[in-house]
Amino acid sequence: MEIKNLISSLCRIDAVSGREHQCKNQLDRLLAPYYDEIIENVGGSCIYVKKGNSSDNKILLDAHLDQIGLMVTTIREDGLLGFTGLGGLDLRTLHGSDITLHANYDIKGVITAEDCYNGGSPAGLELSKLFIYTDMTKEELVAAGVGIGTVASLDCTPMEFDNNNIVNRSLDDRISIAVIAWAIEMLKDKKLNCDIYFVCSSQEESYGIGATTAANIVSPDRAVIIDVDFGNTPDVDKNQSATLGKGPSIPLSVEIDRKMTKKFVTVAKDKEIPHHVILNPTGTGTNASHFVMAESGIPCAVIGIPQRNMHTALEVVNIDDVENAAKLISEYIISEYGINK
Amino acid sequence: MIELIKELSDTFGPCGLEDRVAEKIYNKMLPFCDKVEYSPIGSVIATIYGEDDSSPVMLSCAMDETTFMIGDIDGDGFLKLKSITNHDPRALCGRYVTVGNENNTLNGVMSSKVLHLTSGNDRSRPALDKMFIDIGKNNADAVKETFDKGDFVTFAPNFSLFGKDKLKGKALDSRVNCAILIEAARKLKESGKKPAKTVIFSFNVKEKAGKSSAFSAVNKYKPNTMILLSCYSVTAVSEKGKEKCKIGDGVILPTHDHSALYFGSPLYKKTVEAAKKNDIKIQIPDSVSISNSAANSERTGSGVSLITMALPCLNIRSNNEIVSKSDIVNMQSIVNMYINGDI
Repeated sequence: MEIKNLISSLCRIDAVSGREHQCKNQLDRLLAPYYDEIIENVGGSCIYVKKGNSSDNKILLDAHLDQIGLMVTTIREDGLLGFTGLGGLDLRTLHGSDITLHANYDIKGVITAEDCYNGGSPAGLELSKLFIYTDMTKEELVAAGVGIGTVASLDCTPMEFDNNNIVNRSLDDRISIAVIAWAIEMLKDKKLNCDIYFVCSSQEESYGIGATTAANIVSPDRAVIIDVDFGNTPDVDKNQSATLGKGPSIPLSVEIDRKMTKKFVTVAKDKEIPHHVILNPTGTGTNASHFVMAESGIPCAVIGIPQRNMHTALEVVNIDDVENAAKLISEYIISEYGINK
Repeated sequence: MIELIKELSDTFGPCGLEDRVAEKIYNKMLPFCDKVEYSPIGSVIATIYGEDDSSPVMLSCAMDETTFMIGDIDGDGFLKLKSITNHDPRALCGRYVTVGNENNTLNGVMSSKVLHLTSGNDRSRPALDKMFIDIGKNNADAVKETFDKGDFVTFAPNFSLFGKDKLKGKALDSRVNCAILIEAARKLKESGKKPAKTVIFSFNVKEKAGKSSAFSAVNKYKPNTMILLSCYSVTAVSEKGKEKCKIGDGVILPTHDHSALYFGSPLYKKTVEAAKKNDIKIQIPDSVSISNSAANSERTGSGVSLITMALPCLNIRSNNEIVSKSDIVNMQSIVNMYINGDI
C-alpha cells in the first residue's frame, strides 16, 4: 500500500474547521479505492460505506477531517490582518510562521508581531498581538476577496526521518484517515459479517457537529475513533503518552466502552501488535465524547496515533504506528464480527 | 544577487562555527581582491589597494546567525538547548532547525510539550529551557554517532521571495550585508579602476554573541574610517503616532544606539548629505534600543571614525526574517559611494 503517498495527499488538502465541504470532491476521489457507496448529507462529514456480507451489523470508524486554522477578523488600514483561531492554535509556534490565505486565490502570508527588541522584554503571547503580513495593501487584499471570515491554513514542507518518523501539517487527523483506509485495504479479501462506515467527520476541533450527525445518520452498533495522541516528550506523564514507533495507544477512560476496549487489548496481545495502554480518566479529548452521547449512546473505543507537536505546522508521527493501528483495527473487526468462510 | 543572498542565507554558519560561510565568502572575494585572508579566529579579511594606502576605509559586517548550543541529550534522543545569541522566544517551537558541527549537518524539528498539557506561562511565555530538538534518533547513542553536547543549532534553510519585493529567510541578518559587500567588490573589479583609498572588507565572526571580530580587525589593520553594515529590527505592527522606522522606507542611519554615538563622525553628516543629494532613501530613527558589539571598534588604538547603517528587517531572530529589495539597492548605492570616494 502506497501509504506515504496517501498521507501526503491527505495532508495537502485544505479543510479548516467549518470549511470542510470545500474539499469533498477531492476526498471522494482520493478515498475511492476504500468504499462502495457515499452517504450524502448536510452535517458536514464525508461518510463512506464499505459493504460486507451482512448489513445487520454496522461498525463506524471515525477520523476527523478538519484541521486547525486561522480566520481573518480585521483588515487594518496598513494591510495587516488580525485573526482568530479555528480550533486550538498553539501561539508559541505562530510568530514568523508561513501561512496561506484562501481567498479568491491562495495568498502567502507570514505571521508577525510587534518588535520585541525596541521596547523592553517580550510581553506574553496573545492572539490580539499577532497579525498576518502579506506585503499587500488593504485595497489589494479586498480586491483579492480577503475579508472577515477568510480562512488560512498553516504551511509545511513535509520531511522524513531515518527512524520512520514523518513530519507534516494536519497529521491531526489526516493520519487517522490513512489508518482507516489501510485497515480497509487489509480486510479487502475477507467476507466480513458487517458493513464498515468510514466517517471523515467535520468540526472535531471546534464543536463536534460532524460526529454527532454522522452517528445519527449511520446509527452504528459500535464506533472506533482514531485520533492522534500525546507522543513521548521529556516532560510528559508516561501514563498519558505513548512512545513513537512502539505502537498505537489504547486509552482507558470514563467515556469508552470497557468491554470493547479490553477486547482491543486482547486482540493486540494475541496478534503480537505493539501497543500502549494509557490513562485519560475524564475523557480522551476526541469525538468519543460525542459518540457516547449520540442516538441511544454508542459504545466506543479510541485508538491513538502517538504524535509530537500537536496543533503545530510540523506534526510528527511514526509510520510503523500507522501500520500497527491499521492491523489492530482490522483484527478487532474480524474478531468481533467474524468472517464468512 | 538574489541567488547569492539565497546561497549565503541558506548556509549553516552558527555563531561560533562560521567556517562554511567564511569559506564561501573567501572564494567569492578571491577573484575581486588583491588579498584575501582568514584571521586567526576565522573571519575573512579582503583588501583592494587604493591610490592612497595611508588611511584605509573598512567595510564590516557579520557572517553569523541566530544560534543555540546543544546541552543535554536525553535517553529518547532529544536535544536540550542553551542560548548563544539573542533569540525571539516567540519564534522557537514548531520550526525546522539544522543541527551541525565541523563534519555534519542534519535537519530536525524544534518541539516543546504538547499544547494541551501546558498552561500559564508555558503557553504564553515560552522559554528556551522548555524546548528540545528532535532529529529522528531514538536514543542518545544514536545521536552521539554524529553530534554531541557543544554542537550548534540554527534554523533550517528556507530562503524565498515574498510579496511584492521582499526576501524571506532564516539568516538574512547579516548575510544580505555580506552579499552587498561581495557585490561592491565585484563591481569595483569590473570597473578596472583602483579606488582612491585602500578598501578593507571585514566579514566578521561571533558578532551576535557580542564578541565581534570587527574589533580585532580594526586592531590589526588600523583603518581610518569604518562603516558597519547590519540589520535592525523593525515591525509592521506600529500604532499611529508611534511609527518608527519601516521596511521599504530606506537605509537606517542611526544617530546613536546603546554602543556608540555615530553623529559625532564627520562621515555621518557626509553620508546623510550624499544620500539626500542622490535620492537614496534613508531613515533616521529617534532612538535605537540595541547594542552593536562591533561598535566597540571605536576604542581601538587612537580611535576610528565610525558609522553604522542598517537594513530594516521584520521578524528579526525568527526563522523567517524579511528584508526589502529596495532597501538593499539603496544600501548598495551608499556602499558604492564609499568605495568610489564619493563620500
